[in-house]
Amino acid sequence: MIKQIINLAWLDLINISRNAIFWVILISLLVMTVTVAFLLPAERNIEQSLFFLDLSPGQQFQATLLQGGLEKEIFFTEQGALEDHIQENRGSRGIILRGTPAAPRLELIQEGAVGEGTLKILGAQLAPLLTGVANPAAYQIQIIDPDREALPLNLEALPPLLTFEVLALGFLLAAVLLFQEREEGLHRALQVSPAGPASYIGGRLLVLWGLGLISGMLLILLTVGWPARILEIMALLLLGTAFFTLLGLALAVFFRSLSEWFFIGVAVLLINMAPLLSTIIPGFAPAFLNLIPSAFLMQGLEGALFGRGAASSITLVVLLLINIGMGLITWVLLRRKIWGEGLS
Amino acid sequence: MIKVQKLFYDYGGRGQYAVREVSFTIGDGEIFGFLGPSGAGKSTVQNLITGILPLQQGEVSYDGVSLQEGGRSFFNKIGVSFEHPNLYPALTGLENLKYYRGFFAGPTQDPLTLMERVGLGEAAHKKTREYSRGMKQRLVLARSLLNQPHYLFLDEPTSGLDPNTAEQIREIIREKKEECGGIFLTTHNMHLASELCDRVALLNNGEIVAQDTPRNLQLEYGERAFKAEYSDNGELQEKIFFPEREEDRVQLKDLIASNRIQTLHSQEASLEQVFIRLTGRELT
Repeated sequence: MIKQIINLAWLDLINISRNAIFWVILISLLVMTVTVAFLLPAERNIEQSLFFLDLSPGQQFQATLLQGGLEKEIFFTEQGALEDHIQENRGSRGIILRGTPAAPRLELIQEGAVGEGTLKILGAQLAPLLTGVANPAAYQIQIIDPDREALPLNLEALPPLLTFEVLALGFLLAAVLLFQEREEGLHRALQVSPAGPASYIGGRLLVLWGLGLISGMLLILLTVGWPARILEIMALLLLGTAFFTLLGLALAVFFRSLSEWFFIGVAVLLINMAPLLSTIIPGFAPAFLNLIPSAFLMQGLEGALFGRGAASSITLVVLLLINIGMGLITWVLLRRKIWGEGLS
Repeated sequence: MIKVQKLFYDYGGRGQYAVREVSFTIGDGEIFGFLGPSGAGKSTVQNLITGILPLQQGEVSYDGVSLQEGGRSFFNKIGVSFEHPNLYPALTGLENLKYYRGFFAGPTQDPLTLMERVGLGEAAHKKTREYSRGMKQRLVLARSLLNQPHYLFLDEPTSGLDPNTAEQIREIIREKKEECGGIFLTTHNMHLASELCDRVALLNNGEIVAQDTPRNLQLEYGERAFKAEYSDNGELQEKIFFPEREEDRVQLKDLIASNRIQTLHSQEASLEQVFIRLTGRELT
């Protein structure tokens, strides 16, 4: 059986390497790696989204804000110039300051509508600055976990990207290969060979594990360097790839071609990508997202990479159990839908 | 020896049998032809006796050992060639054989030698998506021989091939007949069946309607007669003579003596005619 698995893995590897979809996925992963390593900024530059025009007598607010540490470049002297700048820079906001420190009046300039909640937060953020409380001496910072280093913004993208990477490799390639075999009638040839569904699953897992591990570790090494908990990270990558490969196979057996599979396949792909949304939109974190396996994986990777989130040992055990269940389901489905139930 | 006894198969489980009471044996070194039109149940029978479909009723044994006892290692002993070539298009012909070879546990043949044997030596390093239909067909046959199978299952092995290639394939099948424990050949091609098969079974609506040697079937269901073409005052004439009739015997004797006969053919039935006579439908 081991010989058959290795043989099938080689077969898949050659087949994959000559498949255009594999190169599309590989190039996408390369682009993501370059983006995380070199293009994403290490810090979120909040100041660059707010611009001011001080129309108060003696420009008292500007003086206070400059004293509070804001850059001189974010202050405008004419309302027209401020409005032009806001229009040209998507996502930025302008604040026109009027009145006195005792009775400040703010005028917000921005493209499109703004929610009441956002307005209240903005007001609460600006009020201490305008009244001079922003002086560093006036506030204190209490750090709960002093050993934890501040995480650069670009590295925050790493767990979701790694999750997406194993998702794309496992789920998509497993399905694409199965449809190619189905189209060519290759399952008939496999049916009458000594290789059964277990060897078939093993071969596909072996090759996608290899690809998932190599690309995942490359992404990690190029961004955070050699991680301290490398074994945990590798185990998570392997379990994640295995789960999505098994899911890809289990779903694909119900369809005859990639075009038939497309809508359902993309829907499953999007559901598994939903937890990634909560990293992009921190306010979006409904409880049901935690039930999606990709959320487990993402949290596990975050824990193993940066010492955050759930204990990775628990994640590993949960993912292992999910994989065992998924493996059995996939074996049964392949046996019923592809191999026939004779001698398989 | 392959022994198949009283096979029944019902896909839907609603009493509509695709295969009914099919029984036959294939002796060592025998080529057994399975003839029938599309939908007659040939593929179902082949899938049952190769273990792809589970047995519902009946028994299949190879050299006295029940099919169910073998598990997947049974596939080490058989070779199957398909009518519709199924190959990895992105792989070369040689790669297709090399990786398929890796599935087997026992001794296997060298893929390149096999490719040369089926006339594909020069195309060994070409991707199979560039192969013609005939080349693919030959490669699939070569693949079925990789594990030196004891039992060979061939589905329309010469379909779509040019006459020369078809003859090459027939030659290989004849060679394998000497080495194999039995060859199961499914075909619509009556000439192929008559030429290669030691015995044939005619299948209609899931049932075997007749099985015997091609010669016996042709004699049993044909007419004993001769058709002669001869010249008569410069014109070509045609007549069928029945040797049972005294008058016809004398007439034919005179015709032969007059040296006017241009062609003379016996009128035994073709397998196609036998099938039509038995079932009222055509094979193709």
